[in-house]
Amino acid sequence: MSFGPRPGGARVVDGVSFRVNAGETLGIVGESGCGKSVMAMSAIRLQASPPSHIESGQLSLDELDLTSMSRTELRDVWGRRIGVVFQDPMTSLNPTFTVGDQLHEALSLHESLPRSKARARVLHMLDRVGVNAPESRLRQYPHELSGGLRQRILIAMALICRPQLLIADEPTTALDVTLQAQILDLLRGLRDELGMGILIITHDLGVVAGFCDRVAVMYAGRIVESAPVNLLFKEPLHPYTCGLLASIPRLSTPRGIALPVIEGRVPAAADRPTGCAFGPRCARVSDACRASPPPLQEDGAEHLVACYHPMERT
Amino acid sequence: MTAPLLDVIELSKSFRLRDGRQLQAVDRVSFSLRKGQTLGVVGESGCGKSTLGRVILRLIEPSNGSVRFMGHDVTLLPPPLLREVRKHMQVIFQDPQAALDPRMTVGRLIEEPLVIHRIGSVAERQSEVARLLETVGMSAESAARYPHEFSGGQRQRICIARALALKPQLIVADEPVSALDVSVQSQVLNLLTDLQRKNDLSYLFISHNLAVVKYVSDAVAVMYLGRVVEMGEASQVFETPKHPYTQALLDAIPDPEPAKQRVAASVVPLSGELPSPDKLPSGCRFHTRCLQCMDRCRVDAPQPVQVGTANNPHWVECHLWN
Repeated sequence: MSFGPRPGGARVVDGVSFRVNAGETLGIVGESGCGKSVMAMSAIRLQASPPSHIESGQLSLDELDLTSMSRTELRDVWGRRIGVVFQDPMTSLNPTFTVGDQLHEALSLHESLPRSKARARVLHMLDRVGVNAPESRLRQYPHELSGGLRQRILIAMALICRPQLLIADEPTTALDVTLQAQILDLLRGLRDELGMGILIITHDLGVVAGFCDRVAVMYAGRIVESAPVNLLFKEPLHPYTCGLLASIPRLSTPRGIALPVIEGRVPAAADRPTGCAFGPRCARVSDACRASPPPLQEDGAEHLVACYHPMERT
Repeated sequence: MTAPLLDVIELSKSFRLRDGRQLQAVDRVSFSLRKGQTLGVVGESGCGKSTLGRVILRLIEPSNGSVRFMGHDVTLLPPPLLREVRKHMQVIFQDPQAALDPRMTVGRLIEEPLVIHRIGSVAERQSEVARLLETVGMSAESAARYPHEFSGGQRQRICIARALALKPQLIVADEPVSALDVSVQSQVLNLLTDLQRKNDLSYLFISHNLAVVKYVSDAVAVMYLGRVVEMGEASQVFETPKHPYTQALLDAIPDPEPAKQRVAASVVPLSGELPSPDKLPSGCRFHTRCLQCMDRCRVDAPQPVQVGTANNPHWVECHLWN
């Protein structure tokens, strides 16, 4: 994936592979600018082109090859087989239409149902996402609703056609912790009920720990480590993952003890080093790291890491 | 025991809405903060924690109550005196992007407080700017550059350098790390802790992130709809929370440890949302979401109860402890 007026520009996402199984939640974590949103959105070809260009790679959903699809074909897949929940519930809803109109639109684009049936589906969906008094909500405009309600409406829109795959880009970042817990609970329930796969993008390792089955850590456009959630938290292998996990203050962190930090900062997409992008910030860096980026390799069952000098297992 | 640096007594702030109703953003809040100590203020968005910080600095005029700081009642000071006292109380905001004028160089931004208070000659101010930049871990050459040339974490360091320029005693830090990336957050938190130790600073640390607050604070106040519902030593409040709201907040934080979460997944999340502060519930304002709500909670507002010891006060405002 590159950005620029023509193909061949700044490479934002570089050689990543991942898979989401039915009924499973994959978490993508990384800091801002690491390319996690771009990766997820281009995986379903939702990135506008130009400025973005898919330089090479394969994207598929079940038997469908998304890579070769036309816009018209994609439009039939988006919303029906793939639902998306964007980060900001404020800007993802159209302020000039009622909630009811927007939910009906999401449904009628893909299924032609008689009015009464469509209405029943919309109301049922609102009920499922925990919106109380759904009838009266249908007539309201987004600005009349709180942040938590708007996020529920967005989830309802994404799920109304019962997609196989849900992509949720920081779905709880704009919300308070108590609401976050409610929304994650809701997504968990719907995942089990509908058997869909979820790809969740987040920078919150707490959310990953509680919500995901597998997790992929991104740094500067690449996946540097991927593993089942328990394994990653127990035995992180990449120095970046280790640093990230160590640097978060937790309730158990004693007051005043200096937090371990990862010095320096993430390089911009345009001036990433030729070797491992984490090299300049890494204590274990060697000549090999500076020469070429390490490939993502299997290190034991289901645990992949892209590092020439991974951490020792304890 | 030394006298407190900051004493907030029954401080209230209400705003008049367009339809004439009153919105009580901060409701009779009292606490004191000693030199070199940190008080953390936690709560969900809209609970009044930022308003509280601003009223203490008198960036917003309070409706009632008083703020005693270094022996003065800040709420009564006439403008020239207020300006003198303000030197000693500074603020760091959440969004360093918005807090820095994009058309001023970093040097001018940091120098500005010194210029306003007519401190030092031009040369003295320049060397002070260089010293401040080094204090926050940046090179002195940064002074000639503009804010947009820096990352979020570095911009927050610039804001901290500016807040330190007048050698304040108190810094109100309103969500100072919330807009930063995880790996940068810990850098800025370490810097704040370091500066506190070196300069004997006091912080009023406002944040919605409980783990961060626990990490930096000596004492903590939990706010709900304008009221402090629980307050005490940080480790006590977090380890033996008394108020059902504090308990719910703690339960809701996703712990970055999968094993703990599997157990915690059985915990019932707090249902419902924060009621609008212009329509406060009757009685205890938390009763609409409280799992342990009793009849009297609906009608009768609880008074603060001391559940700690004389040396180690711990206040909670809940009928369960009456």
